Amino acid sequence: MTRFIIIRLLQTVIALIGIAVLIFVMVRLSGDPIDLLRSATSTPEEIENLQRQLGLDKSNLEQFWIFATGLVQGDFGESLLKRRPVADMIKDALPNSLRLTVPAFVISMVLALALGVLAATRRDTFLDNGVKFVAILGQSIPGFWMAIMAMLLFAVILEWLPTAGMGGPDHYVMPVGTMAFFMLPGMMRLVRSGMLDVLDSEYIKLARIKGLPERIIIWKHALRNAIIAPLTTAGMIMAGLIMGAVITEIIFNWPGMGRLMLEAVYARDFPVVQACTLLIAVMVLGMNLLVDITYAYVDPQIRYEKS
Amino acid sequence: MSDILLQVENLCTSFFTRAGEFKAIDGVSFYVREGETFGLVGESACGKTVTGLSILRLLPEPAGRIIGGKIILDGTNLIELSKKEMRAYRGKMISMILQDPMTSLNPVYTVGNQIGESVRLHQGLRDDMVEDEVISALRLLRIPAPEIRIRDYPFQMSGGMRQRVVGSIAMSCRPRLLIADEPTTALDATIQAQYIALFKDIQKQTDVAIIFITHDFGVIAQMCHRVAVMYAGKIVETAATSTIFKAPKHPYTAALINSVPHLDRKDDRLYSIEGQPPSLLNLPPGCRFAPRCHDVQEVCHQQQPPTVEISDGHSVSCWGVK
Amino acid sequence: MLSIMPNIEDKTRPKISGLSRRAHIMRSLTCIVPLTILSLLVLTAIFAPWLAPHDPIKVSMTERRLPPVFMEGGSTKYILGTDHLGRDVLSRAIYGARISLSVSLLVIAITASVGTILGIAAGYIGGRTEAFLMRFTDISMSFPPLVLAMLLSVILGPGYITVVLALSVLGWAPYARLIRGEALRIRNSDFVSQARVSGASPMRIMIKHIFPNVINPLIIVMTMAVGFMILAEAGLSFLGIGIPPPDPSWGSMVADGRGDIDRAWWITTFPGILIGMVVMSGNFFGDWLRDKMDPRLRQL
Repeated sequence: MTRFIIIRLLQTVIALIGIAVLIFVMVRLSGDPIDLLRSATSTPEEIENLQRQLGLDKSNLEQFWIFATGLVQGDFGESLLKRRPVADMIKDALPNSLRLTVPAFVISMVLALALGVLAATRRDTFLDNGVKFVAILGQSIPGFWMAIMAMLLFAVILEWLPTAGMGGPDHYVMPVGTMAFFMLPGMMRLVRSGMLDVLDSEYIKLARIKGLPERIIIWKHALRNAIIAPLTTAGMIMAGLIMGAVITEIIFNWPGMGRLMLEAVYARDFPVVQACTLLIAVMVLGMNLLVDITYAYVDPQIRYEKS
Repeated sequence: MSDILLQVENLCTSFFTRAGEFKAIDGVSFYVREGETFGLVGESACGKTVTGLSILRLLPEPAGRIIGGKIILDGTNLIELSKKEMRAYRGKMISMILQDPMTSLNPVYTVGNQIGESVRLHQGLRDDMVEDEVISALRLLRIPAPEIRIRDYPFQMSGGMRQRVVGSIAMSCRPRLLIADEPTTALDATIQAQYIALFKDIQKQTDVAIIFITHDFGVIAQMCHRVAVMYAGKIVETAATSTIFKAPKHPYTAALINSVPHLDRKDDRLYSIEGQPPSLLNLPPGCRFAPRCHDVQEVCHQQQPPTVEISDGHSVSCWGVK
Repeated sequence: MLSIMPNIEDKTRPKISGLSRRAHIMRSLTCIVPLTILSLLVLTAIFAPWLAPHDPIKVSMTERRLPPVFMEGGSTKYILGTDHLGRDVLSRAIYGARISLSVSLLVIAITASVGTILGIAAGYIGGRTEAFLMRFTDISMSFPPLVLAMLLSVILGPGYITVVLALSVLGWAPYARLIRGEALRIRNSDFVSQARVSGASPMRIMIKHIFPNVINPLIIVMTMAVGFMILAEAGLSFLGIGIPPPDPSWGSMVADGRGDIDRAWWITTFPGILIGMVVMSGNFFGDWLRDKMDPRLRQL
């Protein structure tokens, strides 16, 4: 188990280095890095400073060293637009994003498990058909459009909820709901199909032969096996989560990482975009690691494999 | 002569699908005595497994349903029990071993956990005593080093070992009736022989009655006291094992016994039965074996043969038997 | 439900696959309706210049936010109304089909090719190559394409190529994963051993023996990807990092109407419905194709 985690940890670090190299190379391939890193108002003096800072007169390897050591120290440079250290801007934005993502994730996870399991155990009933319908709808209808429609209905027509921005609890309803809508259908579908496969298995039959109550059969014997398959696709779910977060923050004008990054994209504020990309990469890889550990916990076969 | 433990009377089970009703078993009657091994033999799809699942009332819902008959275990008609009462019988009074040891254990729990679960549920033991019971269940099936094996996961065991674990689960609460559904089919020949010997031994120790479901007359010969031959959802012949081998009365039984390869027989051709069993969706009005029978008569196509007891404990349904 | 029929083997199993009439009709509907919608989409994309009543990018400041024909103040001139710049919503939607379709098809062509090559190589060669490629695949699958798109949009500038690139750079991963699994299965089959014994080179085995056997799942996944890619392009364009204005993309049309949601709902609503309809058709058709060609892939 420890060995498994260490290997995964090493792979994560290698992946991070890979992403850093990728960004570094892309920036240099696209032309003069100075063009990306200077703002319209930079004076020639500032540009010269920047050149020296980046070590553009030195070799590529040394340039990468300067770039990488800066990243490790948490020095992501300065925003071209706001003239503030990027690290500070992220410190403000990140908690706001988490305030949306965490509840949305928890809600959709709980709902996906509950509804997926219920649908699978009550096959072809009203509930099952409802779950299937929502899953299809959710995977087809663009979430951003759905969010705008929700805004039209609840904020403009019914005036129950505020349209956008951060504030009291009522400000959370629509953004969290939208984000949950991004994640729920896919997860629910995976839980349901995983559960259906497992419920047909011999060991579930054996559990029934033992005389176990249905509750234990489903939540102990079936569910744990049923989530192994969805866990392997957890990476994709997380990618979807981050996409959903960005879109939600834009639509509801939420001052989180997604908005920070997109606004930086509009302003071509490269240091911010770069820092956000890297940070998101770290989070994605970290979550992957977490999923791998969960996976090893759920499936003993992974734990005992020699590799 | 010991007491009758299980009495199945005129049991009918059907599967209702979009294509119509499959009469998987149609009027099956037999009894099992305490401590004996009763064989149910027949080709695949003849209804052997459905009979086993019907006794446990574990037919796949909602398609499968028992539509008639009685299943009397030790004086109680199981069909009349509520779902909850029936659950208390499962694992404790009646247990079952499934065919495939590779898939019948839950891959994510240790074998100790899977056996212990049954023990805890039916015997209401405290956790520290559960482990002792689990170890004794593993010992009963002669699993070496049970104190260590208890922490193993199924994937760490061989097929033969896993089948023994399945046996331990089934025997953990010392049931009175064990339904073994082709437990040896998936095993290698040598392991199969060991397993059969083991079960004979377990039966001596615990006096459990066994319904042994198989398609293999060779296994029947080694294992069973009495045997019933099933064909297309009906029992065609019931007798003591020795009787059936010496003097099979139903043409189907005779054909099945003939199709078992014998080392001591000179002719090297294997006997096989022509044709296929009838579709359970569209059964003929007469004897179900008639289309494949060598000694078919006019009446066989028109009416179902009655079950006749021709000597003590030997009954046959065939128009050719007077 | 058939898997639960105990011990009924194929030779004795009556034909239960003959579903009831109603179920049969429903089954074919899930193929015919989506296929019709997708065909219409293709035709619309091809014949856009002849179908569109107006120039999709012509601004008309005097005809801004005109409602659709069925509302008060609407006219047959602008059947679905006009947007905040007085552009015809219908014409923009028709031209938008071109963008949606061409982006998604281009991306699928690129990602499927790359993914298939890597997947076959990983599955057939095995060992370290496979371990490395699969870890790479896992990471690519969990990296959000949106973030990459934003990064690329700053470095390369927004545009058609940037969108295609952003969706392609990560999009090959699911193909690689699936094809590798299939290749692994086929590698161990008798006919591949046979080919190997008769001295076929690995290259020849991969092209002649493995590739033809992964075509079915490949086509299924490609079909299922159509809807997903259309949705992804719309998402990027909605955020303003996709197809740059004034070219009409359904995603950017939804975004155009965002500020006017309280007074001109049609600008946002129609393109949204279009996206939903097309994506749903793609998903349904993909499901149908999968059930028809290879029910094993239910997990997808």
